[in-house]
Amino acid sequence: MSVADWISAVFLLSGSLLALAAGIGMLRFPDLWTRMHAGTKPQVLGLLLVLAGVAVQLAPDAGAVVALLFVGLFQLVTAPVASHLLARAGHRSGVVPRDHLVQDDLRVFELECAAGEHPRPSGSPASAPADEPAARPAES
Amino acid sequence: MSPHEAPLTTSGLRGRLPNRRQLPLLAWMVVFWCGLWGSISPVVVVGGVLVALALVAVFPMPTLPPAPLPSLVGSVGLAAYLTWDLVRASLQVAWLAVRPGPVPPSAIVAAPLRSRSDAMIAATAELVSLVPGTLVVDIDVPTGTLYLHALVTGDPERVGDDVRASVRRMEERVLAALAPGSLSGGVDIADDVREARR
Repeated sequence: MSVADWISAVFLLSGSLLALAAGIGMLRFPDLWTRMHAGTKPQVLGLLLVLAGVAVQLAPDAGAVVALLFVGLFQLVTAPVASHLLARAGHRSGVVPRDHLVQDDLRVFELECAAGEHPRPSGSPASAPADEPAARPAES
Repeated sequence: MSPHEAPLTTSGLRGRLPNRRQLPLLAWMVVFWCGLWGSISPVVVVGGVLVALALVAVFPMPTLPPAPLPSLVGSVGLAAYLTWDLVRASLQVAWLAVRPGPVPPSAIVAAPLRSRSDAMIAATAELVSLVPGTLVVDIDVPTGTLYLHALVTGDPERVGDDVRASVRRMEERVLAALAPGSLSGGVDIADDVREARR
């Protein structure tokens, strides 16, 4: 094996291990939100490492390496968005159990909104359309 | 109200033709197209330009008001921090997944942001998802507040402060990279970003 092969092997194996850990986390973690943690971070880095391993092997072919770069870039950009949308859907649909949360500022905020502490143009908490910056409370 | 009241919702043909501010978007689409083809032959480039023009015409994007040029030093710093954060977050979550014993408890923490710009909130929210142990559950744009789901690895009493500190650091890096000067000259950069889109 050449040096490049060794480097590839290290990248591919460590990437695969991270992807495996992400899968185990998906199985073991108790609810949607904790599972999204497993699905976004180790999985993204795992994929990047695998791509790096492949890129080392394909290095002379610039076109292929650029394509791999795009795969990694889009994974970095889309994974947080996808996880945010799933997490928000879980919150708004109310199907995710909240009993193992040690702290829940979002629930507190919603209760405060329901009590009229944060006046807004339209009532729905934390999802009001953003066209009235005037409804901004003082400071954190 | 801001000085950047661009008429962005113009319907009809005029609003659909690309304007000067969309040039970076067009250029990026052409680069992406060439990357996907793995070639920069004239046919591919011309084809990319045509596809980019067609996309901008069919799916017009809201144009952002003029923004300060990103800072090179800030961007490099941001990229370095991000790489480090991503590695740390991945190893941490991977370890939590495979270690024996119970899964850690979690919390939803409100983290206020200093910027009110849609673009900066979006960038910060996206990048915060990559830092150790946090996931964006909801964003309250009028108050500029991120609601983050966090795995509690340390003291449950301190999780709120830890998360807020890390969000604050991330936002500072994002502002330093993408909106240089905003940190020194008052924080409320670019309310106009949002207003100009209405």
